[in-house]
Amino acid sequence: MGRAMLEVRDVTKRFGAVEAVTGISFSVFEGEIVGFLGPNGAGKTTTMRMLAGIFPPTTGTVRIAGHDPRRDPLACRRAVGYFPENAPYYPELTVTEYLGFVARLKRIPRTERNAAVGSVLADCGLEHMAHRRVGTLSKGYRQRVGLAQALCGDPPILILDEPTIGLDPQQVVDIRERVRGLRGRRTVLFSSHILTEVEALCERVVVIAGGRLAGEGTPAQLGLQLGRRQRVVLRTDGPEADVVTALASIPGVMIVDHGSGAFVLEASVDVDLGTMVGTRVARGGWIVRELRIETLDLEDIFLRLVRREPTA
Amino acid sequence: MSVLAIARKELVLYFTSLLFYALASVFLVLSGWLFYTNLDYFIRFGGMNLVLGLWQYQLYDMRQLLLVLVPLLTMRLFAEEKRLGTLELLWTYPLRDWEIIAGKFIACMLVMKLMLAATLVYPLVLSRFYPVDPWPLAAGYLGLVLLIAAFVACGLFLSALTDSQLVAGASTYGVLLFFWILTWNEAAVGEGALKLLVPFSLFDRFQVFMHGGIDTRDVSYLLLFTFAFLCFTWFALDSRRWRGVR
Amino acid sequence: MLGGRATRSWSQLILQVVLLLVVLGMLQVLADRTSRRWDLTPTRALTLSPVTQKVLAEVDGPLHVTVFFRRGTREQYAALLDRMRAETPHLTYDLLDLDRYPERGRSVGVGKHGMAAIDYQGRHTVAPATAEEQLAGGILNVVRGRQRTVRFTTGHGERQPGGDPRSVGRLVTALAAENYRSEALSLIDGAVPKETDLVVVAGPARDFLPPELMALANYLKAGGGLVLLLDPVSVPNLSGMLSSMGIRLGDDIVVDPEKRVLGTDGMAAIVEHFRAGNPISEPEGIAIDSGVVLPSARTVDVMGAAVPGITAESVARTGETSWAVIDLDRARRGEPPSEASKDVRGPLSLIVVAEVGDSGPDGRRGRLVVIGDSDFTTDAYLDMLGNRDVIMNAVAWVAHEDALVGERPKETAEVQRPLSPLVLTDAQAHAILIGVVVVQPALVLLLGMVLVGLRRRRG
Repeated sequence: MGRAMLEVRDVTKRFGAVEAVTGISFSVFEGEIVGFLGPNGAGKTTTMRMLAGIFPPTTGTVRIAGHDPRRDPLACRRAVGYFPENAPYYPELTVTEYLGFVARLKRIPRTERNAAVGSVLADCGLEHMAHRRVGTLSKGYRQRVGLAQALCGDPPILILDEPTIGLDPQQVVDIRERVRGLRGRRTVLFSSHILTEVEALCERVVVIAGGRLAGEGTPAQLGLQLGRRQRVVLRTDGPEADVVTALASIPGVMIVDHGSGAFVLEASVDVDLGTMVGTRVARGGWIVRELRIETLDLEDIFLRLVRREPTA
Repeated sequence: MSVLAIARKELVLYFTSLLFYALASVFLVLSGWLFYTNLDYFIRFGGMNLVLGLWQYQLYDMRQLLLVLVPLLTMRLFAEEKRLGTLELLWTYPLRDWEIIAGKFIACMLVMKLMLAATLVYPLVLSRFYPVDPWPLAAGYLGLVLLIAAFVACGLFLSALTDSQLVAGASTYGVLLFFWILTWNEAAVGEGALKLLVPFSLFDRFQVFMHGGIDTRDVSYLLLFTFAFLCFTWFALDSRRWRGVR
Repeated sequence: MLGGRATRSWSQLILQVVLLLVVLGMLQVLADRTSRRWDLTPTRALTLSPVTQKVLAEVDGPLHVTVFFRRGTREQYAALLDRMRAETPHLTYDLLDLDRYPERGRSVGVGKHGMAAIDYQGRHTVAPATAEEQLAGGILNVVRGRQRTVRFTTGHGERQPGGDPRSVGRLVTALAAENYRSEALSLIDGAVPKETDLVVVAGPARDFLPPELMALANYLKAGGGLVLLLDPVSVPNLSGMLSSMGIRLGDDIVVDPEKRVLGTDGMAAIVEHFRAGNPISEPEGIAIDSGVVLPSARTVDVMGAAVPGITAESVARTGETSWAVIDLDRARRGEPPSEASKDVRGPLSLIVVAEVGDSGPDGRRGRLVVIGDSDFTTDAYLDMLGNRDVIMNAVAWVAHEDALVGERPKETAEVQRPLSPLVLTDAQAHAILIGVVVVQPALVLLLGMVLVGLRRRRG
């Protein structure tokens, strides 16, 4: 692991009486693409805004590429390209005008400005839209413009807040590919609510819920951290009450759900759950209509984390 | 540099919106008509003193027009960026809050000065028929520019408080009219209170300029008024640090 | 606990705002203390007139002025009084809304808006304060403590002090504001009364009788002041008296068809040239900035040979485009003047000032102003261009209200000043109207539509 490009230490942010983020800590290291997961209102956007330099934390510290935003806000902002939620834009400016404006604000020298704008236009596949007004572009292209603005000036760190929200599947794939293309060259913090894309893109995931850190690590680490669980779905014709009694007697098993002949059970991976369930059903003389064994994936872990269910 | 970039963007937005040209031409129609009627009055009753017979009325009328016009041009400056969400984007670029404020202020002033410059056509036309002394007029226009600066700063501040252009524009009218009627309704305030209030009236400060003079007191008042409201705007943006955005 | 930081920040913000306002307030106080004012007007309109300055210079004790204004006009009086206070430290003032304090107005004798109650060394007067000269006149009143008397001759169809636009009611009011009491004067009874500062003959329709003229001439020679306003009416006796003083009264009417001032019938004479430094148009070197319109004037000029004991000079002339028409009927029919009809081409002299006799017992020479018109002093024309100034200056000069003594240089060249009023033909006025109301805004809108349209088309 390289050096920490984004560091969040015991950060709390209050808006008046409302505490949006409570005591979270995590880091993002150089060259990583980190997924930032959490339901709406979990404090994702608030955290990202603090990292982007929009406002400081109420307590705790944030470090951007080693700089302290309180001491050296401009150095921090220079290091970060930020893609805000919903990719705000000036509808009346053309793509080139807008990116030229961003390039000026990011203090790219006049001689390099055209080249810089040209290169982000190419990176984001916007060359043939360069003279269109942003307001007339489709949502997918507008997201690309948002990405281009973040990429402009080659910042080492990218903070992307829900870059794929509200796009059709083709556009989602497009943006995802463009982010994937940054792997290794940039440090990326990428927030999303689509688990598959985080799993596909990110080496590491940070999960927050209710303003608190709920989990951190690679998808595999997260699974371990939570205790890898397996799940069995059983459909049988036995009387519901009897079946529940029989299954509940298996050590370490939890009946997650049951009704109209179907049962969902969970246990940790070191139990041979399938065999044990099969045995109990056979012992009762009931017929097995279906017996399916599943391993929990990130989505399930995420859901459990954010619902704060008891684990293990 | 960042100031110029912001100003440049604002100018592009002004000059590519039909609203600006519509407002400018409405302004010119109205001030042109007022010029014509004032000129007519001058020919009939004004004697030969251009300053007292013509320019003072023309400047007075243009002041009223600008009071109506400026809030329409300032209301979008911050309110629109807040509504679009682009303001938080600006905050992530390496520039300071005061640079955003200065850029927007400079751009709006430039636009207003351009509109004002268009009204210089009146003395130019008149000078074909009658000798026009430029100096008292220069004092009047200096007064107008300073007054516009005060209006723009006030509008900028109120625009920074809300994400609704309507609220920003309406409240700017409210504040400017308040500074006007502060002394307008003399009957409502006692004589003692009036002596205290008069120095604060924005509009009494224009009197000397209108008559072709420059008083350092009025210049300093208008400049400080402008500066105060630019500072308030800065406070309003800065308060996001502890108040939260939106 | 939760809101703790936010509260602190609100109090911080309030502190910041208060601190800023205090600092800026102090800066403004400093600016008020060290203020400078530049008057960029060519006429020094923002500066008190020399007459007012002279009046204020005579104030040497506490002078209190209370102006009762109409709602909405306060600033106007405050500005004037501030300027006056800058001139004399003795002045204090109050500005009161008359509708709010009517009983205070009544207690000092003010029942109208725009009037000032003036108190100085136990003397009290009420004067209008809307114009600088009116307020200055009121102050002069209490400072001098003595009114001057102006007598208007009667019995020859002269203009009456009030009643209709052809009367001189507003002139009488203006004189009252400058501390003159107007009285009627009948010369049938003999000499001009002793306490007379000047006599005005305002447009007689009939000639004077020789004894009446005798009385006037004696009064003049004894150091009196006389203003003759003589319309184009045949007055042989008066004409004879004037020619004995070296002043020629023309039997003609001055017309200027090419310069037509709004509100006149095209027979008005417009004074375009003033002799520099004369007491009528430039008392104390301060010029009337506007021209003078004499609605139906006759020429008044000095004769070639000077008469001993009398110094007369012509001070005002019309422009090149004017004519003196000999036949009044032809002029009234609107026939164009021509040299063939023996009409005389301008410039034509219209005003003559003269000093008469030796220095009298009080060291003053008699002063005479002859103006070839009386209409310009009537209510209809008094406020047109510089008319009011001319008659008021003439009155002040003959009443020895000026500080100028000694002879004026005779050889001063006439100077052309931009004194013609602004005249636009209908076509020019329409062109201006269309240009500023239609063409210029339309060009701006068109430019905008083209620029925005081009941009939209590109995408």
